[in-house]
Amino acid sequence: MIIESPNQQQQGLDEFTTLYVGHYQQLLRMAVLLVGDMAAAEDVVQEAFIRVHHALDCRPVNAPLAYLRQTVVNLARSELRRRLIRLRHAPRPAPPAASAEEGACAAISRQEVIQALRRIPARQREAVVLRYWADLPEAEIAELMGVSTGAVKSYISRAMGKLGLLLEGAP
Amino acid sequence: MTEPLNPDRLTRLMHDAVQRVNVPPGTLDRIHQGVRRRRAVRHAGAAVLAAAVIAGGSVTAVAVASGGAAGPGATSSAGTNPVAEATPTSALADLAAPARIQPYLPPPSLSSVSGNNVGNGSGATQLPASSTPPYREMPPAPSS
Repeated sequence: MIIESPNQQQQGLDEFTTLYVGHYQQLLRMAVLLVGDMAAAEDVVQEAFIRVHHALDCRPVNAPLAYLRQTVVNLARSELRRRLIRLRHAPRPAPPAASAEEGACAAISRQEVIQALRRIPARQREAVVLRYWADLPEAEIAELMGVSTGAVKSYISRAMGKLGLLLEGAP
Repeated sequence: MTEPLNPDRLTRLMHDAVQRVNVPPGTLDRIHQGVRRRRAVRHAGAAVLAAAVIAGGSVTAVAVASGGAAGPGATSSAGTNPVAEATPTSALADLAAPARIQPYLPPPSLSSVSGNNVGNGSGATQLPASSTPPYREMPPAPSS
């Protein structure tokens, strides 16, 4: 069991607050691109921050932002998997959005590029979002996704082909 | 054939799509609440686990202590205790008693070849026909 001093805890919390202030919004936007809707993205990023808070409580984390980003990607993947299962067993579609806030969220989901991203495989979506939105180098994306750099290049190339078809090939 | 999407265009499209996404108010509080809740659950789980380990250890200690008391020195009390008679240990002890061991009786052909009368069956205990023997059925004793 790890026993830490109050100073260590305070330092962890400060680091956490810095992470929250500096990166929450960017990670939320990335999660929206990955999962395609606002509510799920909020859940994913909140959960990621809770996990990182726990990790910072227990031990020093080398690269907290990378840890956070990886957690968001993994949780987004799990969310998409759960959604697929829910869709498979859903008796009928969800009711239409009621409030103005939900309407705004739906407007985000209706964006053409988000619709297009939802239509490509999850790995390809992760690769293009991390490359062209988060602006990460391919090596870092490969490490984050747990694949080789060549695989990342392949995902990006295929994704760009499909997105070209979906966004520019449509009449 | 459609050209692949231009990376700059994709970047711009993605930025435009999510530029209205903002952090909802009270998010940090919700995260802290979540952290506190998880911590409480973890502590409760740890307490339950500790209680289970202590209870398990106590039960094991009691079992070991009572098993030691009912060891070889306590076999004489088994006859007076009906529960002890029903235990598998006492049943095994009964089976292992020398007076009840069934000698192996060779088939008639073997006894005639060996020429001795070891397998004459004079000492063998006959079981009632209705009971199911817990061991191998004895071949009939040879007629001399």
